[in-house]
Amino acid sequence: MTEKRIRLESGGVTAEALLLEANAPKATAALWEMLAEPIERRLISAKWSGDVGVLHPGEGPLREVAELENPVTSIYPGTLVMRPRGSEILIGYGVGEYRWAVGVDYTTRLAKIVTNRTEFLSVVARTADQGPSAITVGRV
Amino acid sequence: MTKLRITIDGITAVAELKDAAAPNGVAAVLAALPLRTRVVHASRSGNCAVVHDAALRDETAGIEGQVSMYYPGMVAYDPVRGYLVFAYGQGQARSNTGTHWVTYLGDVVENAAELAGKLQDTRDRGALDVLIEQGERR
Repeated sequence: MTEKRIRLESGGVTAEALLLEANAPKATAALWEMLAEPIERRLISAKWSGDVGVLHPGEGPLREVAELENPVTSIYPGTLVMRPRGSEILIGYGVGEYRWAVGVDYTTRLAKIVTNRTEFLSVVARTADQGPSAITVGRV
Repeated sequence: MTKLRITIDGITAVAELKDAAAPNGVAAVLAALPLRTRVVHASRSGNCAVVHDAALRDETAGIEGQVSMYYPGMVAYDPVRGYLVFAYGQGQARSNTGTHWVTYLGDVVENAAELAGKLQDTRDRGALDVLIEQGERR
């Protein structure tokens, strides 16, 4: 199987992430379908989950993926995770754990950044102090 | 009653501090004033913004009026980390290792809604300048 990659661009920095198809076949397939055309969204800082950036994909195939696949709570640096139904995609840049107001919750791992990781995660980290930035996500 | 004046982006709010319930915390915070620094949105604790400054650290103050949950308008203090927390909605003191305790230091009693708007802005605009001064005692 050919590995699928997605391209992330924010703040003038581009990175590529490898989709974790074996871990999350439904979610990654839905994301790939959604990215037939690149999407541009706002990347904001988490307010409950620690050192992670958050984007809201919006309407699309991810909405149909209601179940968790190999669920995780910890969000490691360079990892992209998704809340069920794709309402949020989170990108870890430090110590992160998926949390809501009521406590810890689970997510599905979607991808891991495999190129330009350090530079891109620096851009994500800046959202905590400098506010949101635009992010473009598309297929490689 | 000790008061704090908190000024962010042209808005000044007043908080009343809990002199009786948190005497060490109130003294530690007053010792750091006036304080010009930055206020940034919380990344783990929900709907609140945080001032963290070395001048606010006082490891001898201890946790008084122990709380974990934040409510709108609440002022909380973590003397070990040197955090002063201003809540504009529901929140909880959380770190990378989980939940923890903080001192319930006081409540915003004037211009709470206006301050809440500025605190919320820190998520949408990034960190903002803040000036914290002692207000008039009543």
